[in-house]
Amino acid sequence: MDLLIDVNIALDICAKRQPFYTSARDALALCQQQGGKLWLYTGSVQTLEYNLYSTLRRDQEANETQLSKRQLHAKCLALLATFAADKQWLAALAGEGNVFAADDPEDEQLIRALDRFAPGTIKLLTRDEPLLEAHPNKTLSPEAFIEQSLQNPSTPKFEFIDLKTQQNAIRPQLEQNIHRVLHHGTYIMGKEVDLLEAKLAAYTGAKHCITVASGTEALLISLMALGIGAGDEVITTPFTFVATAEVIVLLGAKPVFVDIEPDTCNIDARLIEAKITERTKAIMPVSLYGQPADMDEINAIAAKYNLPVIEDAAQSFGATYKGKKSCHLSTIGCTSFFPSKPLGCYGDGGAIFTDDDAIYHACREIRIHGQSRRYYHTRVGVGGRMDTLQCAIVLAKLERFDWEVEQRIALGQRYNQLMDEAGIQRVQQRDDRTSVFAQYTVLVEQRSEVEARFKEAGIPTAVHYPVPLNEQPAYQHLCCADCTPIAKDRARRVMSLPMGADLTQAQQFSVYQTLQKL
Amino acid sequence: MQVEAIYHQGRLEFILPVKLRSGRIPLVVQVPDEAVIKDTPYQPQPTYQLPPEVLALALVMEEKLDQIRNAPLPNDADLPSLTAKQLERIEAFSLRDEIRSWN
Repeated sequence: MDLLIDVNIALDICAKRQPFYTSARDALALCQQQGGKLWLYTGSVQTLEYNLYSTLRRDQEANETQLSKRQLHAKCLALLATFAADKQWLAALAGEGNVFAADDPEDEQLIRALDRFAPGTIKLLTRDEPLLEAHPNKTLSPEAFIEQSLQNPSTPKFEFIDLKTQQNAIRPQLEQNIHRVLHHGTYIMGKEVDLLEAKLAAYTGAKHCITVASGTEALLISLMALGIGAGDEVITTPFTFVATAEVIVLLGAKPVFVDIEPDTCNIDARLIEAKITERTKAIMPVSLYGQPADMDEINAIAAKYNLPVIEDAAQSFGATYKGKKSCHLSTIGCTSFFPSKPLGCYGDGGAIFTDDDAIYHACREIRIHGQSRRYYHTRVGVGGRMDTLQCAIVLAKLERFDWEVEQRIALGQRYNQLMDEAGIQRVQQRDDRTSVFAQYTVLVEQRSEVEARFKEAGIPTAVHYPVPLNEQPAYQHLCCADCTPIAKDRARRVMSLPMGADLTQAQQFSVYQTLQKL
Repeated sequence: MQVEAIYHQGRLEFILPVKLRSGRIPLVVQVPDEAVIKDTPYQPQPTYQLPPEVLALALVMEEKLDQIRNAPLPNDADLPSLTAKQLERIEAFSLRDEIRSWN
């Protein structure tokens, strides 16, 4: 459970007010230790500052010490800055402004602020008796919180991907970016769209970036820009999310499935050439689990047959291949900003990357209903824009992204070490590339039993993916199931473990211990 | 050992300086009968058996704030003057305390 700290509790701690200090201090420590977040309300800043000032002044008078007003004020600010350093700031919203009709406007603000959280997930920590009596379901005294927490200790929920910690870390920038969009009001194609495209292009090294409505839309628009349609064939992997093949079929073309490598689960480049026919119009490798496929080999085959290569980099934004960034490894790179992706937004979003000017212009037009200028439609397109708010969110996340990639790589390597020591089979990574570990995936037998054991331990797992696309009812007529035996086997055995930049080493170790006990 | 101390506004102040190993030590205090208001029932603050890791976390926070409390302050002359706005707010908050004390 989180706690919103009332001013009186903050003052008890900052001014070490006895006899309240110890309970207040211990309640905050207990909350943090049990995985709760401590919040301060931004609307309380002035009350904190001047109430602490007057508390310190009273203490000084009682102690007969001699500090000047300025010294006292400086001390007050230093105490508050230190106290606030590890707290979350809860923004004051417009609905918490006109509270003057309330008996106590400040208390009313705090009580209203609690309403944006899910019921039972946060309480106002206060020792204000009238407030405790008036809102017994929303408030707790430090003593009550300690008693309740000691009787029913809560353990932090183990998330498969922890997006909350990330949000807490970037909250100031995130809120500023979102509010900027709300205020300028250009919700479609606002300046954040251009800014994000410029930053993403620079990050990958690609000449162009076109943001789009989703990762799926990125693939669809790319295929449309290449003119792929009825009767064409696109070579790809069956061991991927359905969107990869879905967009091909939507355009009337046929996905031609090539089996995967047993160790990386990426498309086996050695098998591609045998599948090329005169109808082949593109090769679409997927950088599965965050690791690019053998792009040099794939690009070489493509060059031989004059085919474009579309990297489905939905899971691999931030990864590298021989020093080059994923999304800039072939004719076109497509990524996704689905929330759980290494770089995600808070809805749907995606991007296309290319060095090719013609493809860039085609993608830009297709993204906006095929228009070359307003209401002039030179080609058939889609409503495929990424909205400004989602771009603003990705911009906020980009500031922490380099650190997150480093963390993911370090955590992935630690997982590797632990799995190898325990003799647990896992997806391998090649030395000439990095994976951003969108998923950390191991191979297990009797998967449903293993999943159940993890569930009992309170550790979430997932399967990416349980059925290869050539065995899916909607696609099985396109390829024989037995012609991709490695994909078939891996679909039966893969299991993904919790992963993310904010996964702690302790959490990682508990995952490992659960696997070891099997 | 027995040491003499003066209770002052919620704090115990030793008459002679004593260096203590810890910031929190249970003590037995002798309070003169005449200093106690008889009709106020004594309500001791509850004490809790907190897990050691919680106490450690609490003490880390305490130490950080103690460092600020005990740090030498700059000379008054070296600090920026309080602005008219700040002085006005100090007065306003004093007034607020006063209004609240009426209720």
